[in-house]
Amino acid sequence: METACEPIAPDAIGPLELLVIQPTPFCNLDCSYCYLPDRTNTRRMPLDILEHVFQWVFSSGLAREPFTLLWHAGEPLVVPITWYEAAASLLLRYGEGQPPLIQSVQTNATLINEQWCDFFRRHEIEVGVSVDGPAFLHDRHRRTRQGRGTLDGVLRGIRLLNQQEIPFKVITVLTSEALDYPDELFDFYCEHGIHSVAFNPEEVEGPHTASSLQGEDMPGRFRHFLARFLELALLADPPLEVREFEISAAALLHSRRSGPSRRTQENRPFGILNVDYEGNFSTYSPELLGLDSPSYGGFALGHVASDRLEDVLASEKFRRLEADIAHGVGLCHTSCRYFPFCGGGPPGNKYFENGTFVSTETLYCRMHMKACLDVTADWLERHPPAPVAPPPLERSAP
Amino acid sequence: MMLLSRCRLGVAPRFHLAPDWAARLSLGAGVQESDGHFFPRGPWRPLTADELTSLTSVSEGCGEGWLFQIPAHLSAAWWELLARSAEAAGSGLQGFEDFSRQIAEYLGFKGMEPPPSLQMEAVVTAAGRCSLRSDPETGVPTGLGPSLAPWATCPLPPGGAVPRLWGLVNLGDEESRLVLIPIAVEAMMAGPDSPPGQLPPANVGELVERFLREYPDCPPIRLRLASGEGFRLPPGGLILDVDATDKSEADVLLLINEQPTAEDGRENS
Repeated sequence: METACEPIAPDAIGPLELLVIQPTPFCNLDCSYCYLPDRTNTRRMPLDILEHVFQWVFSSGLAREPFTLLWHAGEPLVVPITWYEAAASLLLRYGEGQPPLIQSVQTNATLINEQWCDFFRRHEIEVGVSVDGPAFLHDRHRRTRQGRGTLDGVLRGIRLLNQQEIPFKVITVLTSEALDYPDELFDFYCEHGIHSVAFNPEEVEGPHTASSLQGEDMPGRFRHFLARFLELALLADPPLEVREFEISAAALLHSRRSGPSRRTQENRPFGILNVDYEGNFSTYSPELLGLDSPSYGGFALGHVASDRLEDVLASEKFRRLEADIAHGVGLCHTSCRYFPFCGGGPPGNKYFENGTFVSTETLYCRMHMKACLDVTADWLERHPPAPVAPPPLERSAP
Repeated sequence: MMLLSRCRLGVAPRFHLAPDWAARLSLGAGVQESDGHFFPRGPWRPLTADELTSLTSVSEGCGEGWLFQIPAHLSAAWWELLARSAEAAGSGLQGFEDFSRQIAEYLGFKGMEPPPSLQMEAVVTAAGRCSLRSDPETGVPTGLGPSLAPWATCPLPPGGAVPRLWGLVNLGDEESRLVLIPIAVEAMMAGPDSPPGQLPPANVGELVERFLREYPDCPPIRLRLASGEGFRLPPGGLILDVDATDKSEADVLLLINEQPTAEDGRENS
């Protein structure tokens, strides 16, 4: 059901919002739900390739607005600090006169030490830590290659971040068993000085071909979980920040004021740029990079050293991808009442679950979008936000 | 006497709790009567492997006693409530109703289905006392008793809609020790017939008294509850008490009572 479309002009795509760079595919852990096919590969991105990445990005015309550079995909902290120091120098050189960017890193925290804390602080790097809660939840899936639990190591890293006053956010992957434990998760976050959390429902992605959340009763259980968790988190003193609530509330309130949203960062071409350690790049969902498809071949669209954006946009592969993804977004638009708040489902999830981009609902939609929006709407109805006072029409008399 | 295992113990579904039954349970020798009241009798010993299997394996059709645990934030809410009440000296436990509601919501989320007509009370047993219950006039400990209202008529009304202790939670910092004879009221009623010339027991209290007098070697079980841990009683009830003799601090238990309404009785009949 794939389609084709006309070439797209470079200024009609982007702007770049998220640049995901994979310093290495290697991860020191072996989580059961990981989607990375190549996580035992210990190779590292050569600095000359990284230089090409920055040259490519800043000459592409995509960096028109401030964006985030995320070091991710593999455990980024297995690469030494000296590599990131060199990366920072390259950024200084190539980023001069460009829109500002925020650097962030998503880590399992097991390798965090004082030197890393110092590095994060000096370069104002935002830190995201992946932790799934108490040991009986976390160690069930987040293990070493020898099968040992990793929570102790993660908590050592979190303690250090707290001691060094490095702010951080947490991502927790929710599996079906975690849905019974919102109170225990809340206690865990409070006990370990965690003030901001995000829940990623276990997804079907790449080699991870099944999710514990695929049962028919799961959306209901997820809603039940989220409603309970929000009740605890938002009424806590101080409240715990919950990404799903923040995003859903913003979507609900924004949509009410501004109408339907545009396509999302993940389903809009070059809203995200994903670059692997060899310099291959893709756009759309980061999980697609490095994977092959019978319909499209590899999802990589080019290499930073050799392929200009204009050439990629004119390529048959990109045009087919974009046509199919746009078609899928169109189907979302016409068939889903949540579209005004969502902007269309992530193409990666559509492809992995439905076998085609030209499709609509996924597990991600049911959990991350529909359930979160419903639970948030319910919360907002019961706890309406304080009205914002309209600005005075005239300056008051002195 | 053999261990009576009509009701078995387990961990409530959707709770992550290491029961470590061998360390948590001990077995007494029987009961002793004193001034018409019954108290557990030692010596206490660990359960054998067979006894542990018999008492803790879950099987269909048996009433089950379930261990559970309240989360740390609810324990903290309890201590905050106490602190607030101490500041406002003399005006009772301010906020206890809200605390009870939070406990009920939590248990409801966990699928424990607390009764809609529940009442909660916090009961303090002084360190060194051997019983939760006491004579309201003399303050003398009154020992083991049924978890169902002792004045409930025997046989129980259809549907068993009588006030009962649904469960309890250790709100103190120190371990609590429950003393249980895990046999359901219905099972006690199915025991030996009343001797000739003696009327059948009129109520549950009398039934338990007769049972304990008839079986003084019936071994009581001591169940340790760590701080924040709770025990949901088997629906069929059992005989229980609390032993605070070895404690250094007062025992503080949240008792969750089921108080059936007239409608409950009608629905069940």
